[in-house]
Amino acid sequence: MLILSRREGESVMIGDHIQVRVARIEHDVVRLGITAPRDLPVFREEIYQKIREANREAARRGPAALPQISLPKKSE
Amino acid sequence: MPDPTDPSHPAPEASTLYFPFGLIGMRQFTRFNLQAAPESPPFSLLRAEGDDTVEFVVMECLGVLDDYQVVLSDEESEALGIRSAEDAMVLNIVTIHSMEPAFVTVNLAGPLVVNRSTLLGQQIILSGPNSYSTEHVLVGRKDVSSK
Repeated sequence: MLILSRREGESVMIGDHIQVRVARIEHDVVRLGITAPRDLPVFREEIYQKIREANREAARRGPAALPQISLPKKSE
Repeated sequence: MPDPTDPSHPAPEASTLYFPFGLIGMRQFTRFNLQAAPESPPFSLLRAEGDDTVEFVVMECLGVLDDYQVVLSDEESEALGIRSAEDAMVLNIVTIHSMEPAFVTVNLAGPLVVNRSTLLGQQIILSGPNSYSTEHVLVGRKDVSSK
């Protein structure tokens, strides 16, 4: 992992099209401003990992039985 | 097995969905075949097209589970061409942890949002004040002895 030090207001460029700017540093929280092309989604890392893990766990290879469940009727 | 010639048991409809960015952590799966599973409501099967095929059990949780809301950002709405709720179909991925006993959860935090007309879709990570679970329990419960 590349480690760079930046002050508030300073940025890093990743390639030609991605910019990460330190928008604000307040106590132990760093607010980052991110500019990236549309086809590159940006997520908080822990959320990304959680969803990725959930997708992996849910993925099935080949047919298997489906459970018969009954859901509570939605109240109107 | 439903008889396709019996009008009271129509063959399950199938559609092909296109996810340009694939799924999160699985960007390689961009085309999916969605097929209802009429014997096991409310589930459908989402099968990835391609050599390395995987499939997902999905269901629509919007309008079924209380207090579930899916809010898209302006960028997400625009990318999918969705202007109102009626334009969108929201599928949630189901995890079948076990069948005997049945322990089934559904991912509310990362729904698959699909434009009903174009069949263009994207897996959205919901943000905002409501934080939903990736493992919302539909039936059963976590076994205390599991990992």
